[in-house]
Amino acid sequence: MKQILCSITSNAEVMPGIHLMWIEASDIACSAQPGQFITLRCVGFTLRRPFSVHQVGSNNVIASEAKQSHIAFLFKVAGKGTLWLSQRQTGERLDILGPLGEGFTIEPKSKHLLLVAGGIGIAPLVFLMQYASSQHQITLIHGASTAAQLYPFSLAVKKRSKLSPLPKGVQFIPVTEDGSMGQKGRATDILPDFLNWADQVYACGPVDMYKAMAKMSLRAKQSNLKLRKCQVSLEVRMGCGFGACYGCTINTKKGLKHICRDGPVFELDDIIWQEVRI
Amino acid sequence: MRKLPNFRVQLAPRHPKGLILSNPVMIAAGIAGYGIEYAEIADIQKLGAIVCKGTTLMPKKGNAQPRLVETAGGLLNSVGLENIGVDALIEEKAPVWAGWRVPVIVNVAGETIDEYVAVTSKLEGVAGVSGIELNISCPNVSAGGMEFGVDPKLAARVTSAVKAATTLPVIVKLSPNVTDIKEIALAVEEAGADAISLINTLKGMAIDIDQRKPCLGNIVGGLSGPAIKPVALYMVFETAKVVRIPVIGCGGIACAEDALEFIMAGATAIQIGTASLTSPDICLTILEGIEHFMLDNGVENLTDLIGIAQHSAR
Ligand SMILES: Cc1cc2nc3c(=O)[nH]c(=O)nc-3n(C[C@H](O)[C@H](O)[C@H](O)COP(=O)(O)OP(=O)(O)OC[C@H]3O[C@@H](n4cnc5c(N)ncnc54)[C@H](O)[C@@H]3O)c2cc1C
Ligand SMILES: Cc1cc2nc3c(=O)[nH]c(=O)nc-3n(C[C@H](O)[C@H](O)[C@H](O)COP(=O)(O)O)c2cc1C
Repeated sequence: MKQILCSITSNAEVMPGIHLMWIEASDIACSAQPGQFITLRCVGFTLRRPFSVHQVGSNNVIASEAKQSHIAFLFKVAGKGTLWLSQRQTGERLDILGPLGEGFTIEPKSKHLLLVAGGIGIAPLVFLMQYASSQHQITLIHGASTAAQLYPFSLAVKKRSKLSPLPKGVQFIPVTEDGSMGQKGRATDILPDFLNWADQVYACGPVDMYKAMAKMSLRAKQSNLKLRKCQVSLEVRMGCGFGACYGCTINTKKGLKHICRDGPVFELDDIIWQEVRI
Repeated sequence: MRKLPNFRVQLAPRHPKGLILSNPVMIAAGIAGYGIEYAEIADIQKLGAIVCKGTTLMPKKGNAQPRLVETAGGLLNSVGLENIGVDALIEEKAPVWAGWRVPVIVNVAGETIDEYVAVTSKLEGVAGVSGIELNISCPNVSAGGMEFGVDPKLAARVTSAVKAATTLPVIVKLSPNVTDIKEIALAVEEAGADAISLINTLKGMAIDIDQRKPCLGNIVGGLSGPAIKPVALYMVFETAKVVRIPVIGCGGIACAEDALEFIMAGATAIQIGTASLTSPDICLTILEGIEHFMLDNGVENLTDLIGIAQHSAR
């Protein structure tokens, strides 16, 4: 965990309203785990903004062999801070703190990993795929409102693309609410089809998606569909980002947790979903 | 070679043991927890002192989410004094502090005078604890807290009760949510406070117009950050005019120039809160900035700057 000034090496709108930014940050690139995040200072704002590590790579391209020296984040222009961020140019420097938090964990016995992304929730799951695809069988369900909001894996094969390609062997299942690509509906609609296949489930998306999954998890306990071992990444407003200011505390079945330090990844079953108002 | 400026300040001149800081830059309560997480990011040993999270007799859960809302130039928080309780502090945190060069001051909170006294008594003789900061100014709890800080008689009673329960220097932290800050300041000085720190946060709120309800889970919170600096500065200026004990300035300090304004207004030391959320290493940057200012302006002793703006105002 370090506070450093990092140069932006690229910043581009890769989907409508969604930017992919690469920065040079060796320390973070070498140590970040999938599910961890960084915070960055948006000039003129009091609170730093948190973003998941979306990819690590070297010299702007994803490389598994070379020493990792760069990280990317994928962000949605959601308000004033992210608008400021979207306007930053290559060569400008950003004040970055990271890597922060506890990321996803894979149990040694797990073979089949099911990844469930709702919208921009794809961001940390791409890193998890990069990290785990050589050792595990992965299915990625990616839900979005419309085709244009699905991560454009197909463009990633183009030369000099800074997007992440879909790792070999990963089964990709797009779902859109308007039916413009893949099945029509939500990611959670087709999730039950894979529950018996998956050894572990990893989800990142809006709270409503988690709440739907929590209901499923309750039902699953009665039937023999298993939605056990499901990890989700939570979002709340954060202050310090490292467990000191208690701005992001939530009450869980395992007591008070600081999302920035104990999370952002938690077991779905540990969260008291009725209490979640974030 | 020019002489390095002398930064040392005495925070408790009328206390038998005193409380000397190597420099005037402190971290305000509630920003750095118990300092331990913070130490992973910034070299906090270089600071004048660290004030830890407000500590009560029993652990406290704090308020519902959301607890933080950013506002123009500031931050509203309603953490609500979530803390591990004084026993856990003594067991888990103080032993770490005992190995530090930087002094740690414990911010003590309570709902009754008895609770303030009980927490303070437990801290007596604990290695690693260099002082007490009485938080009679927290706007985020339903009972106690700020009530003591808005009534001069209650403020004096809790101060003298705590002074009687400890041999550590006692700083009393004042609330800005009062009609006359000078009256409260004089009352706690009279009651034996070794120093005064101010200000805590100003009560405030924000409403989410899309959801048509208050942004904070607790509805009301405390405003901090650059937005409150002029208010804090004026209160420090006014207080320093009337009390003889040291005043510690706090509220919206985000750069060395801000810190120097407080010092010239009469603050012997300064505390940095919200700005450390914006940039965790800001305290060190501010310390360097003060040093540069002193070197550039040929100021050898920081004490020569304390309250200097009071003179021209007279
Ligand atoms: C651990 C974590 C990882 C995240 N990863 C990503 C990511 O990879 N890509 C991405 O696009 N977004 C991510 N987010 C959400 C992102 O931080 C917010 O969208 C962003 O802070 C909004 O800032 P703004 O100034 O544009 O919006 P504003 O609405 O103007 O922000 C005002 C305040 O609210 C906070 N805030 C607003 N929305 C959120 C939110 N959803 N979660 C937390 N704080 C919020 C901001 O930090 C800021 O303090 C993540 C959030 C967390 C907690
Ligand atoms: C998140 C947060 C938590 C705080 N917790 C405490 C606390 O426990 N005790 C206390 O006396 N003051 C607390 N404060 C107040 C600060 O110590 C400080 O007085 C105030 O924020 C004004 O300074 P600033 O503008 O530099 O932040 C807290 C402030 C914030 C923002």
